[in-house]
Amino acid sequence: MAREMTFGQKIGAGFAVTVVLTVTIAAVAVYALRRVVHSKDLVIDVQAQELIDAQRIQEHLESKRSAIRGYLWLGTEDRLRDLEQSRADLLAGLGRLQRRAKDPAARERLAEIARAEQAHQDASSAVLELKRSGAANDVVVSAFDSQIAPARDRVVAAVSAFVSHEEQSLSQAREAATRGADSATLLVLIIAGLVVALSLLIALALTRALGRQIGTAVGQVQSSSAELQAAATQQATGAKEQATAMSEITTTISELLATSRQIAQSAQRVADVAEKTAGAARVGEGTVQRASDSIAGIRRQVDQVVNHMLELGRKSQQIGAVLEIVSELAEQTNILAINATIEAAGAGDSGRRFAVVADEIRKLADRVAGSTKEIRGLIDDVRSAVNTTVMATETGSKAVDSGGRQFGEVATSFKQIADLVATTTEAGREIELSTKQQTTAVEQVNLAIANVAQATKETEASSGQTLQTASQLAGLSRDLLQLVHQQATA
Amino acid sequence: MSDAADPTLARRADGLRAQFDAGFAVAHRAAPAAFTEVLTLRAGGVVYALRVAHIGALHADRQLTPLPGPIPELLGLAGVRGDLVPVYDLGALLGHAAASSPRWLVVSADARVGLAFEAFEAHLRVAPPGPAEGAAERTHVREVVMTPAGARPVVDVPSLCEAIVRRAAATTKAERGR
Repeated sequence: MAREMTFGQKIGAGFAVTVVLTVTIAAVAVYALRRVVHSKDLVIDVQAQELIDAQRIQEHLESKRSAIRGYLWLGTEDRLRDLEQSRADLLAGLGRLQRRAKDPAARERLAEIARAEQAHQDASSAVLELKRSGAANDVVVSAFDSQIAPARDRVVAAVSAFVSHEEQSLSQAREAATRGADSATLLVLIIAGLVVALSLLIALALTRALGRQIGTAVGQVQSSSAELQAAATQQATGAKEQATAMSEITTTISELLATSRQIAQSAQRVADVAEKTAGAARVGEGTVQRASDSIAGIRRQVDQVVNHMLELGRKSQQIGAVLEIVSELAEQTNILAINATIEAAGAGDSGRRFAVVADEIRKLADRVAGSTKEIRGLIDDVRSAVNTTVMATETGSKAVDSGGRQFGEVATSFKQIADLVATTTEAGREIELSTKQQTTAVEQVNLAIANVAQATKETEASSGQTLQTASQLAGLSRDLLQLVHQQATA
Repeated sequence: MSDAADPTLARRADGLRAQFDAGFAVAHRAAPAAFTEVLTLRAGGVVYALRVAHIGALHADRQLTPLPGPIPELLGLAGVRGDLVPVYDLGALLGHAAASSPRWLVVSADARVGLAFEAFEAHLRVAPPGPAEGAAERTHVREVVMTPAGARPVVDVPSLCEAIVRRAAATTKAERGR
């Protein structure tokens, strides 16, 4: 159970026991003091007061005697009033004594005082009546001496007896109070001794128990201090390396920040150029579209030219066919003319006129044939030109088709280029925005790294302090362990 | 276009018409005594001339009916003015390579033989022919005429026809002898 209590609880329990004993001592001391004070108060308040009141009774009795004597001497009424006042005071003091008195002997003596005073009063009244009646001074003096003086002596004797009794009671009460004080002092001393002994025992037990546990704990603290010292050393070394690494990281981050800013500026320029390129591509797309339309118009016109040329070729063929007929007719005419010439030659002189006609017909047929040849040549030239034109036109048409297709491909490519440029513009903007965000993030990282570097430096400093503290703690634990072992040994 | 071409054609037609009419407008005059009418033609790749007086008719694109026989120059038979005429390749007869398909045909004046040739050139009235070089060695070409296009050897059609007849007769006799 005691093992389970903490140091504070144990020390608290020891102090609690000590406090309880101290309170006990205090209570006993208070009780003894109160008892002594009560005894003394009783002596002072009751016995001394009674003595004082008894002495006051004597004084009132003397005042009464003086008033009587004054009246008897002077005969003035004011002496009578003094007499009455003195007697009233006397009776009042006597009454207080009788009310406070508990001792039967004291009561008896007070009753004796009361009776003696009454007798004195009676004697005094008789003498005063005698004086008032005008008796001679001698008579009055004689009466005074014979009646009042004995009565006064009895009163004085009774008061003296009471005073003696009270002085004896006072002496007894003083002795009783002294004895009570002595017994209380003894009791307090005994209890104080017990408290001291018990406190010593508690202190010894606490010292041993706490010494063992503190020794063990201090040993653990020493071991832990050594470990803490080693850990603090490692931490200090790590913090220094970390500080160096953070410095390098800070430099790298700064370079990265500069690079990010350059990238952001380059990305912005790329985005601007891409936007201008996109505008140019849009303009070029419109131009290409117009050119494509123009090529389509050219192709239609070339088709029309081809059709016209083919039609011209067909017409030339028809002309050639007709010319073939004409040529054949001319040839047949020529043959006929030749045959006519032959027949005319065979007819002799009669056939001479016919021969002339036949000769003219032959000449005409020759000229027609020549013209036909010429026309054939012209038609051949026309057909050749038509064929050449058709071929050239077809080639041109194919070229136009190819150009149209290529232009369509160019237009498609241009559109793709425009789309790609738009995409590039968008990507450039995104890159610009991302790079700016990255720059901001890098700036934040830079700030964070700077803070971390500062924290690392502080960690390094605190690691040094920790190492120093751990060293001091190890020294303190050694000293404390040494102290504890010395105490345990002692 | 037709408007632009018409004047030229019209002028040419007018010229032809005027020349034709002018041919009849001139007065009759005696024909020059020394002239010879010839036909120039090409046979076996060589240009020759034939006297018109030796020719009975000129034809073109006559249908030939092949006729088997021992004479390789004989191309076939052709109908001319209601008569069947044997047609021979003139170039082959003159010692040239046989033509593939001779288009033209002349019939000899006696209407016994037809001679086919490749191309007809012209009907010319030229000066009388002179002797050809090496005429003694050549059987059927012994004269030459001068034409505007140059000298043309003259084929002796009657001699050629006579040779053909003789050769045919000899062949017939040989056939009959078998």
